[in-house]
Amino acid sequence: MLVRKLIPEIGRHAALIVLGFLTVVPFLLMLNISLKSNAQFYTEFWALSRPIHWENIVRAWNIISSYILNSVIVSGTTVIGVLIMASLSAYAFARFRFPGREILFFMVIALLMIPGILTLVPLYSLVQHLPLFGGNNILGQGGHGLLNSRWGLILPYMAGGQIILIFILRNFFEGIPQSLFDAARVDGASEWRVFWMLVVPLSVPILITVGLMNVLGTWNDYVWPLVVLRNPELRTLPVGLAFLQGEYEIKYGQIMAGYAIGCVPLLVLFVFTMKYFLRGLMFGAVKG
Amino acid sequence: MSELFRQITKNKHAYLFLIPTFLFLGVFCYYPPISAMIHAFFRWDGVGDGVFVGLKNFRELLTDDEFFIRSCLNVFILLVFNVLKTITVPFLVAELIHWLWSGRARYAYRLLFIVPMVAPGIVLVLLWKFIYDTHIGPLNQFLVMVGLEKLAMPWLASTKIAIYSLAAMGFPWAGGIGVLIYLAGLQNIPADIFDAARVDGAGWVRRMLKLDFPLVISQVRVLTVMTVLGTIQGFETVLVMTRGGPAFSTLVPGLHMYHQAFKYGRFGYATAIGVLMFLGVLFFTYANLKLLRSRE
Repeated sequence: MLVRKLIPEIGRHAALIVLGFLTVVPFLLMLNISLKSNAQFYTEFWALSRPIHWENIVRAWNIISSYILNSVIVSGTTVIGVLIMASLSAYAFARFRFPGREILFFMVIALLMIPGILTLVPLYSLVQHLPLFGGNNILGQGGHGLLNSRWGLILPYMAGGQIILIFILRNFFEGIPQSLFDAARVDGASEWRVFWMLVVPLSVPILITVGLMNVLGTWNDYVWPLVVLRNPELRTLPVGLAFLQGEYEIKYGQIMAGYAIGCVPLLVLFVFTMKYFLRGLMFGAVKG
Repeated sequence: MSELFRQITKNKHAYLFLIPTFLFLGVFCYYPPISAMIHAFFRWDGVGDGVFVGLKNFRELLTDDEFFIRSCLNVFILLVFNVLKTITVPFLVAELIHWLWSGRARYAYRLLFIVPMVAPGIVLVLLWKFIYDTHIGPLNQFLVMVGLEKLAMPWLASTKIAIYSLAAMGFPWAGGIGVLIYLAGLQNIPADIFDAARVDGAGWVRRMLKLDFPLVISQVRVLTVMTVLGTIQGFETVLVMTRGGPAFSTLVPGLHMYHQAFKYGRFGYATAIGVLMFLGVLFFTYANLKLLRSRE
């Protein structure tokens, strides 16, 4: 009887180990090659080579680190702005009964139906011809607008990123018991105080979750930074990684070391925020 | 009227809180789609107003642009593969994990299949580009090593197979959000349903297909919708792997749009492609909602 149950269990483990191994094979190859010289790459592709070429990591870091910094600046600024704007709006929608509430909320949610593919080209033109920015005159002519600047990434990211967050946060804020608000009002707290001292502290877990969701989206974005940024020094991590191959003569060890280093920031974030990270991933996937 | 005014002043904080949001939405979210709808009927280089050309862009796209037609065919191939990829292996993996005895093992495997998701998407794409490389790629090296050199191919360099290489990318298609979503679905199924199946003496294949799969059908649907919408719009992977080549054999509509705008400066034409794709997405979303409602 036990054997009859044991065989399927062993089968499940075997199948999962094979599938799991095949899933991570690309990463194992990456790590293995990242420590090889080109000679080792060509002559002993599969083997664990000796001597280990740690200098690949150092050289790759020297190139990748500035891309990581750029990505941290862009994603970091974006998520702060998005969280502030989205939580304020969501709070307004959740807790006030003001004239125009339904129509305004609908106007936000309707944007979820607008796919990025429709807006990519006109958004580029808008960013280039934004009046009074980047040397443009009032008609948006004469300069380069927000092209080739971090703001050309951050401002559109902030605008688009808040939409789904307003939706999620409004649902959450509506669930906060009314009695807590009543108590605060009796204490004579102003609207700002209620927001900062009551709503925000109660919402830390959800704010972390949606914040991570937002960071994952901007951190992994490739096409928008590719078209907005011309200056290689401003490149975000995905664009920098995609152009690694062209930076020097092809040294496979260094390139793979670069890819490996590129994985580290999200990995660190994941390790420290695992529960929220996974929830953020799921939210981010389902919003599609 | 004074009542409305009273309501507005009473809620002045609400409006204050909404100002930043609508400022940003107004500039970056409402203007571009409107601009797209208008400029799809213009010859436009992205600067100034352009020249009104009526339906010319759409006529050219649907009757005269063989690249566009080819790209629609390609995206259809990717669509079929991607949908199959999301509903088969991830569900199987979730099943295998869900029925493990030990909670610790379940946790460990779950973590293993999450790893690829924690890496930036671009790294996986670049690694697959490397894997498919004709000369130095691990795939061909492996085939030669095990004596199957006949199967070694220019995976991304042949017009005949490049699109299928893109479609098969990510083998064994087990890493990804799908596993987590199916697992969450399986965990929500009440235990007594499974007990009933056990009494019935249903074998595991039967149970998986006849019982578990229908029970997570809502997860299947969510993942399918996500995959379809993502595939129709996505061109990042193709852009990085093949740039649509060789000889346009892997071109997809999104990439065609990208090229028209950023390579040839045909912004009006590109927005027309965007509008057509938007209509495609809209149609699919609507059909899906209809389907959903008729089932319920």
